[in-house]
Amino acid sequence: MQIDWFTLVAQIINFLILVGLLMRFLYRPIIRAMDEREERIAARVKDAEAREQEAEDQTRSYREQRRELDNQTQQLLDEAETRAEEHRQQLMARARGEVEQTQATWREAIAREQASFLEEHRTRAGDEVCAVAARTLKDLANRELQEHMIEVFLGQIEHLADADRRELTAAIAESGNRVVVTSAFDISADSRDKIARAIRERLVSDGDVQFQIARDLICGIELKSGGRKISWNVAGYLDALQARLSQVLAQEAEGAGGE
Amino acid sequence: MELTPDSIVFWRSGPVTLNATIVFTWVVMAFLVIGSWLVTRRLASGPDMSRGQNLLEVLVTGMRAQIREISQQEAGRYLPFVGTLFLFIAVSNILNIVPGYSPPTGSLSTTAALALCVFIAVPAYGISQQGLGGYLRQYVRPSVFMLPFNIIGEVSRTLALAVRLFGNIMSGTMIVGILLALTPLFFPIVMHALGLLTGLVQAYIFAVLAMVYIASATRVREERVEPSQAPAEGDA
Repeated sequence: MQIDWFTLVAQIINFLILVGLLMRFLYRPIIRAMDEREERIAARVKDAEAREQEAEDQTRSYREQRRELDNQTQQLLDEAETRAEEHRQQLMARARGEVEQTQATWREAIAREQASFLEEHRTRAGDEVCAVAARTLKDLANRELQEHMIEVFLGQIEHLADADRRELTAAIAESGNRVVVTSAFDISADSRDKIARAIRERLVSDGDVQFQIARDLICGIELKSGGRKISWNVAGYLDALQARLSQVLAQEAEGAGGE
Repeated sequence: MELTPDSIVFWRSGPVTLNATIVFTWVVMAFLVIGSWLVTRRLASGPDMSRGQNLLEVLVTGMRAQIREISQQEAGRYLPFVGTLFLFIAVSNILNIVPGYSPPTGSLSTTAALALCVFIAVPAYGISQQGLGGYLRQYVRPSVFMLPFNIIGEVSRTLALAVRLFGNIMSGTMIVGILLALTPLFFPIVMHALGLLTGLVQAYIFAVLAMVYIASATRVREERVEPSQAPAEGDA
């Protein structure tokens, strides 16, 4: 067993050639590929880190936007609450106004009813008073109340003050000497003649005297011409009675309201 | 029975002899180079790669890691030499399973050639790393009297490198041959399998020892640099 020197030299050359070939075909390409891969991975890692950073930034931005939105929502809610409160106050005020108006209307209606009630009572009381007075007068003096009234009325005409008489005469002249005598009852022919004579003597000599009946005159008699009149009836007394009744009713209503 | 493939001569012309060692060395070279070329002509730098590329990357990465671990230096400049040593020896030994093939590493000429390459590479790397003076200075360390012993040590370890590889591979082949004559089937197969293992181990040992020798030659500078810093500390 010995060393073949030719083979030894050939093997050295072979080995060196192999080193060169493997450098060319194995080590360099493989190391280059690995380096490229490492660079690519490093680039990807860097890219991923950049994206992560970007994502974090976006997340932060979204959080801020969300917080802002929350604030805006809260602000809007507060505004809406304020507006709702204002609207409620307005509605309350309007409702209060309507209630007050209704109360006023109601009070007016009550007052109207009260007035009509009093008017009705006034009429009825007048009638009653007249009836009572008539019966009383008839029972006491054995004369008709109407004749008394007519006498009183005639007395008024006869005892008319001069100034009043002149004014009345002028008024009659303006209306074409037309004189209307209105009574709440039927006047007898004698009484009519008496009245017409008294008017012609005291007021206008050629006056056209007409007689009318008006039940709402409440037991009275009156002379009307050109806007002026002479009258006697129980209206004055009844007005006093009505005032008294109104007072009593108001007191009653106050007492009921207080309770 | 042939002990060495040197004795199998295919063609001879004067001093030029084409024996089995050279021919099978070419086979191994062709296997390595063509295999590498086939794989590396379509390299992928992405995550999807061929199995061949994966295998080569694992090999290269492993070799670089080993070199880095042994030399404590960057593997770049040592990889072509040491890596080729490992790949050549490993493939030469692995192909032993192919019938009719005899490994070139079973020839003392081949192992001596490889050892000579290491013998030359050690000072070459050392000089390139630290200069001629710096490299030669380690032969007279710790004193000039150590110069002959250091030279003898250098030569003897190169000789041991060559003989160890040759002996192991040759003996493995010889044992298989003897067993084949005695017990035709079972034992030779077992020994063949063991031979594969020892072949790989021998390739590893040869490459590692080469790297250790080269590293010992290149690391002198670091050892020399450290004492130069020491006086500064001592002064302080």
